[in-house]
Amino acid sequence: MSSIKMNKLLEIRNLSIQFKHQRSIIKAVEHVHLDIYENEILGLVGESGSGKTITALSITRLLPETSEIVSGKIIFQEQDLLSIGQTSIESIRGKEIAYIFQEAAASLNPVLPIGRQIQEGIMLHQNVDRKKASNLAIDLLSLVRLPHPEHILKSYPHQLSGGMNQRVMIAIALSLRPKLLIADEPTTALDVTIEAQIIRMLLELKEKLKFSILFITHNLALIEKFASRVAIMFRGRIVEEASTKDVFSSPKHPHTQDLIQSIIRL
Amino acid sequence: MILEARELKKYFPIESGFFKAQRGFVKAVDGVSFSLNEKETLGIVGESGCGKTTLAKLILKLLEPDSGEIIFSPGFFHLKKDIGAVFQDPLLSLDPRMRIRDILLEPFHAHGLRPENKSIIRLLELTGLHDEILMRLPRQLSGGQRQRVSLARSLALGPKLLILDEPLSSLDLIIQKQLLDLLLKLKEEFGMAYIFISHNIAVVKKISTSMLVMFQGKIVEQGATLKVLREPRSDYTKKLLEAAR
Repeated sequence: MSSIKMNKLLEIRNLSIQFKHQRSIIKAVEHVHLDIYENEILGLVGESGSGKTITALSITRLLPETSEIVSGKIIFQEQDLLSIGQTSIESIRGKEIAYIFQEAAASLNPVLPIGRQIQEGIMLHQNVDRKKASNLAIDLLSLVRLPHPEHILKSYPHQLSGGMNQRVMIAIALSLRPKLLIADEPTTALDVTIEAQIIRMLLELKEKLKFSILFITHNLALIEKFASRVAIMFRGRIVEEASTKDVFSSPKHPHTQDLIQSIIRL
Repeated sequence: MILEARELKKYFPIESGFFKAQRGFVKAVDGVSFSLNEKETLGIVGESGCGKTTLAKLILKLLEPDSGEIIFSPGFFHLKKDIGAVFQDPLLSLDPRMRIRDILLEPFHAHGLRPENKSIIRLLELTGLHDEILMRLPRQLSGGQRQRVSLARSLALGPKLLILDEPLSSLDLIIQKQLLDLLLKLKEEFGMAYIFISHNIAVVKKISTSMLVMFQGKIVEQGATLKVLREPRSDYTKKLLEAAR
């Protein structure tokens, strides 16, 4: 790790986020520091409610309105994403930093054909006509190894399986060649064999297109297979951050130790 | 032997259009035979849509098979008393308007029994729950607590067989491990048989003595768990093993 010089892609500094619920305040994220390097896979692992998703959403300011950013900076390409203007963040969101979520079918529009949904992002951020966008969409569907892309272009999400929909989401996310892909439990709803296929494909695409992945999951065993580094989140804080090897060979925080002991191995 | 399933079939019609013209069938369970012995744990593995849950529902008589039969050993089964069931999502299997106390009392009442207070306390103890939850509603509990309540309810009448349909899948890692350990402990204590349905082959290895692998409604592999996992023959089992490594 130390022998290769790694460049920082994104820095989260002292991020704290809270929610107002009735009269009480819930601290969802507290004093989080996190670095994401170029071309790496960082696993962000924690249980439900530990603050993983809120941290991820805050990166491009997708937080729900009931939340409040109490403090912090998120530095990306020498600007603070939390303080730049609305137009600037919109030009980064989806283009430089893209997301995929757990339920692909819930992220897709049920009444629009797949092709239109892929073209939408391309036409929004790039100056191309529908014909060109349609060709790009076909290329993207082949890239995520969906068979008969011309046919899929005309299909609707409900006609595809969960794994196929997630491939479509990956195609959309990668359509603008982002530098960072935030994958929030992207395979949790899928069968284990499909999960393995999707992850293998993500790794190949990452090598081919050169981007970083922030992989969010509650499944520490999954992350062991492919993340270069792991950050463990617990009750809104990052309690441990190290190379995957170190985390598994000598976990320091008791919660990390609990997590590792709870892995049911074959 | 507790039960034997012979050539079970359950097809669901695919209908389309205004007049519900029948276009074909989904063969959810397509000629499945197996037997379950006392104190055995049978793991059932397969991907979504392979017919695992339909099979569970057939055993519970929540569905009638189109053909084939399930034979329970004579004099052994009072179906509703002797088979307990726990499903994946406890929020869906617990009535949101009932307090935990009433949820745990319901199986007794359904059979005209009047349990003493200590029976309920015993169920809580068995499943590692605190009695302060008795007056709460399901939504006021954590996911792990809710699944323990489901389990406590299924144990109420002292079943001889528990059907566990993906009981760990909705839970966090640490809670999964705790619940799995609890299931192993309860089995040792009461000697129940389990049918454990899961897509997680590592969990199945830990808990089951024999297993069957389903694919598109059919059994593609069955036998002693360790043997199946050591010498998998079907492509699907091999793929599952590879994904779990």
